[in-house]
Amino acid sequence: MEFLRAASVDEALAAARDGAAFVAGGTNLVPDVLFGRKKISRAVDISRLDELRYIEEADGKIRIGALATVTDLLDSDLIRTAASPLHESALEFAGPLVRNRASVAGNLMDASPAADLAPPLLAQDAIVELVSVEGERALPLSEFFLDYRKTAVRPEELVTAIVIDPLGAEDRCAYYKLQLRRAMAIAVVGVAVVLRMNRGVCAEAVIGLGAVAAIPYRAHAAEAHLRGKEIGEVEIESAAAAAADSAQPIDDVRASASYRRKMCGVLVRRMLRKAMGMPQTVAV
Amino acid sequence: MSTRVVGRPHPIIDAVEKVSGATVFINDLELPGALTGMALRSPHPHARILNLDTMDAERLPGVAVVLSKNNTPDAPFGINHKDEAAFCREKVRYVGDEVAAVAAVDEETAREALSLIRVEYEVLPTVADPFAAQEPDAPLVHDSVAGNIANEFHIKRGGIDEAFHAADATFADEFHTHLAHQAYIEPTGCAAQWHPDGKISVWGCLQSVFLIRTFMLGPVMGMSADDFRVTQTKPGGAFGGKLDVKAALMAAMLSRAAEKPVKFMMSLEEDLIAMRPRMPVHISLESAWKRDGTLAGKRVRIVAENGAYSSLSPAIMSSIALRTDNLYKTPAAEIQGKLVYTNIIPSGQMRGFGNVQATYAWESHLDNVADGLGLDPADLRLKNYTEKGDVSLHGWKIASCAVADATRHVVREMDWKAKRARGGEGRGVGLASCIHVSGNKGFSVELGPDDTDPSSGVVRVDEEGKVEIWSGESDLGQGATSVMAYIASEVMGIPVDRFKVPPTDTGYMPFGMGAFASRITLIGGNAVKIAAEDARRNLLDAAAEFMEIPADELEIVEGDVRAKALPERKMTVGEVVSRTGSVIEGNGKWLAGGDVLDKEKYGNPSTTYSFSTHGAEVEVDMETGVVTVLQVCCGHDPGRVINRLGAEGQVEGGVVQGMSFAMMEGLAPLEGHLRGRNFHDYLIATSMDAPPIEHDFFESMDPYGPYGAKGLAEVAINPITAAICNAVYHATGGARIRTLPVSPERVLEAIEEARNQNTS
Amino acid sequence: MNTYEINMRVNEKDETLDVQGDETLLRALRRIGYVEVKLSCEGGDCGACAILLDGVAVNACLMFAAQADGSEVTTVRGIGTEDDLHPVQEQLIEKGGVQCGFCTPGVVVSAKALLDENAAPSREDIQRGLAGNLCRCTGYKKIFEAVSAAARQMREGDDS
Repeated sequence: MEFLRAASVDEALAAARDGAAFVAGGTNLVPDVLFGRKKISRAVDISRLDELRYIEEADGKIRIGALATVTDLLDSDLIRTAASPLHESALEFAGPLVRNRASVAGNLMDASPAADLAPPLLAQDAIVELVSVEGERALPLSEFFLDYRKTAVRPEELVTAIVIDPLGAEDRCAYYKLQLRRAMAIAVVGVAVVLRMNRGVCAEAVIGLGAVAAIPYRAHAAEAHLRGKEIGEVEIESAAAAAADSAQPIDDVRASASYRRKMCGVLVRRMLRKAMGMPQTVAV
Repeated sequence: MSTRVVGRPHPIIDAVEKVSGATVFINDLELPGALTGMALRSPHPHARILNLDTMDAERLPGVAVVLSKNNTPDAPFGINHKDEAAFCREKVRYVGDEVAAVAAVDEETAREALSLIRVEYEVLPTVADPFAAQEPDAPLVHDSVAGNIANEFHIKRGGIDEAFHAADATFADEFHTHLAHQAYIEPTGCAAQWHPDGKISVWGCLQSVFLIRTFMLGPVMGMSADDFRVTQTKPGGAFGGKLDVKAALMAAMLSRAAEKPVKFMMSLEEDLIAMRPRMPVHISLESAWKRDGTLAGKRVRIVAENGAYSSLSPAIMSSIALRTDNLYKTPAAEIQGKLVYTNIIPSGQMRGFGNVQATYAWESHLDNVADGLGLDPADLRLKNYTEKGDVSLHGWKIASCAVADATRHVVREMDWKAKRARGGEGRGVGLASCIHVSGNKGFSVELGPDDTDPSSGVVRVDEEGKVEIWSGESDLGQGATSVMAYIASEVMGIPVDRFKVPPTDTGYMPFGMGAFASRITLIGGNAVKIAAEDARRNLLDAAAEFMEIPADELEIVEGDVRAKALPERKMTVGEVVSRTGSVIEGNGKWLAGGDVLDKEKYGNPSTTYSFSTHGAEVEVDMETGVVTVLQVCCGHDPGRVINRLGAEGQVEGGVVQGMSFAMMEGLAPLEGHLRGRNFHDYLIATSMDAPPIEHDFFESMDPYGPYGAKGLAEVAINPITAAICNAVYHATGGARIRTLPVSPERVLEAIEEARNQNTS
Repeated sequence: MNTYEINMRVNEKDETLDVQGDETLLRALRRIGYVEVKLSCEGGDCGACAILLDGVAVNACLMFAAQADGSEVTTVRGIGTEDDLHPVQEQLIEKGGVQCGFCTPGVVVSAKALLDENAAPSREDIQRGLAGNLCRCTGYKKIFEAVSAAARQMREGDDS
């Protein structure tokens, strides 16, 4: 394998070609290469491109540089206050040794169905910004994941930033990662909900789900039960049922498909209730 | 008796080198010119080898040697059944089975060589389920073993049928345990160096340097045990898993064939799929009771999953079958056991040696019984516990016992009565107890030099007053050899920091069976204590001459030999040794008590027995099934604590390891393929999972133990699984976990099952 | 074969070595003798290979060695050695936070990194700080006590 350290985004793009892969934190790619799960002819090291490592507020949006690490998310007051589900997912993300290296873009590019950051980013309408020698483009995160471990990113393209809508004072949100141990665990189910409220009415509802289908996705059908409504028991139950219906989980070493589907409903209900400040039906 | 060293907290004696990263583990060992050894492992659970061609691999530049059935003799080995070979011969029997091995100049070349070995397989039907394996038309794992039954026994004792007829109440349950790995952090490895005189040096992270020669290296390689010098490198954890280490055989065979040193390091994945994980068992229990909660009798049926080869599994099955009967006054029992071959990784011993599984089943059952009889689970146990002086139904002689004190401690500290009165709303408490051997005479027949279970020690004092202890008993990181140093320090009056206990080495150390069966503190400790007393005597005799004071008027205090009556008259221990012109030595040997069991498995297998009770408080999320262990509270009877810090470490480590086994672990076989092949699919407890642990020791001052001490490593792990399951049962109002692990999904199923039962 | 010459400063010693493009930092460090960085899972799951990379605690197995070109690496032996132990190491000894010792180099690194950021960590802070370091022997309790005591020791040292 050839190794090349890029000194700039342009240099990185010039080096990208068939069989090449960008490597940043390396937390997924390096073991994939070591164990032969991925064959790459050239690793283009972008880990030193500090211009891609930032978290900032601009034009009413939160811009997260592709190379911001998960630790950077945790350290950011902006994320904690205006993207709290993302903050919480970062808290549950692996352990500190991995968080110190793993980049936000890397977690998305790995395209694991259980990618921890995907549900909260989906729930805040994340837009992924990409660049290649051809130019720049932007893609909603909801269109980013195509299939199991497959993204819409072209081989020569580089993710440069993820842009999300900050949470406003009225907005409600919640996040939960169901896992088999309290750290360093792959999600059994990941749920993030964001409810954009306007005078007690849910103007926009977004539910991001992880580990219950081949890709992380938005539960559109569930969202439809909430959007434009005053959210109460009925809406929440309908949304939870629709979320469970939408799931297409698999059986694996962590859980069965049927358990995941069921939990999808339970957790969406729970997170909606939590977001709305309603008591839980069962003590949590 | 007041002690200076024993019973106090001490750091382990090799802590400094460990915290500074200076310890040389096997993978850190440098052997100049060493080749890299690697194995080709079966990709199939069950297949016939039609053709095996190693020609291309042998021709690859940099490859020194390729070994397989083609160029090694058919020399089956095994502790109980000779059912295993160095390399698969006619068939492969599990995914991971060694088909061939190479030694090459580096890892890359070795890996390439493996890829050039061509094996033509005829894939055979997989026998994965131990019940299906017993069907008449089931494929045979070993063609000569009918019904796939490796071992079978049936014992009736004490008028069991009458006990059941006369009982006021009977209860029945079934329990299933899962395939779980020792999951030490250090992957297993060994190195070997062939010498021109035909002898071979072997290094490795081994639990017993002596036994590996006699049951594996010698017989398979057609050499005498003495032809091998086996030296232990400090294991990075073992927990039973580094007792029968095939890597030693691979390294030695490759080295002999290549006539060069070879290092054979397993990857974590190889370790997980091809070592000897804890045996899964299926346990059916029936018990008979008097209305007041007196145990009248029990029936146990066990189907144990042997996997592809037997190793120590027959003994493990025995242990599962008999052990819990000795914890309670059991008037009658009927026990049936079947050990069944399957096309899954051979199972084996892990901390508890079957007792984790047996205790989980029986102690879970007991809480069902308590529920059925309307008794408090703690009271039910206290009513039936064995006591000092008892001879159990199976002939076990209880020389010391403080299990009731341990249970009362848990009850008190956990605020048991108040918490039991609540429960059922997602929060509950449970407890469980266990008995364990301190050494097991049975091993002496299977593994030992004869039917004794011996240990010996040499204590050598040098001219600087430093003391080195040679013992054949190994430290696995648990601080076993530190215990020896503290015992010797206590005896000799020489400060602890002057002691050194090197890793075991058959080249110069006296014989010891090794680290298993919680035997080291009792058996090794006694041997070293005797050796230390001998060394002390020799020191005083020498000093008596130099100081012209009778030996019985001298004492050793803080490393000085001094006159009892006139403490100013003294020599340092170093000066005494110096003046003799030689080292001063002491020798000791101790033979374990107990019996080799008879054919009906009757007898007293261990000198003495240890006990513990664990209590757990849990919170159960009734909608997701997620269980959080809020606190663990334990009482242990290790006879006497030698090193308080080390003993606490054993308890805390055992509890968390047991909790981890109970709640999240599993190699998760699916049609013969294991799914837990790394540390993110095979989960073990992280720091975030560790619950607060409160515990205390109840010292029964064993009459046979050194300073009253007996084993602790395994009683520290056995009961926690059942304690957690019983707490879940209490918290959920009746969700009984009959199949491990206690995963959220399993708990949820059990909650629903309980709900259905309650409403029907 | 693509090999690259890289320079690192390891435990305050300059090292120049040739690495292959896909060689991990863990393997490269061990190859040039830093075997105190332990090799186990090679997947970032166990933390036995933790090092400080330019002061930040990371798994050495999750990087290509070439990515560390120009970096400063600190292993457990850069934090403290037999004659000059770091408070974390001293307290791991005193409190019994070490048994087999295989995870210990990584634990020391993570604990040092934690205390560099947080001089008075709570039990939960310590649990979180060590979440990437698996220990199979101790049950973690004594490690928590050791890190807590080390924090105290370091604060008291600062006061004096």
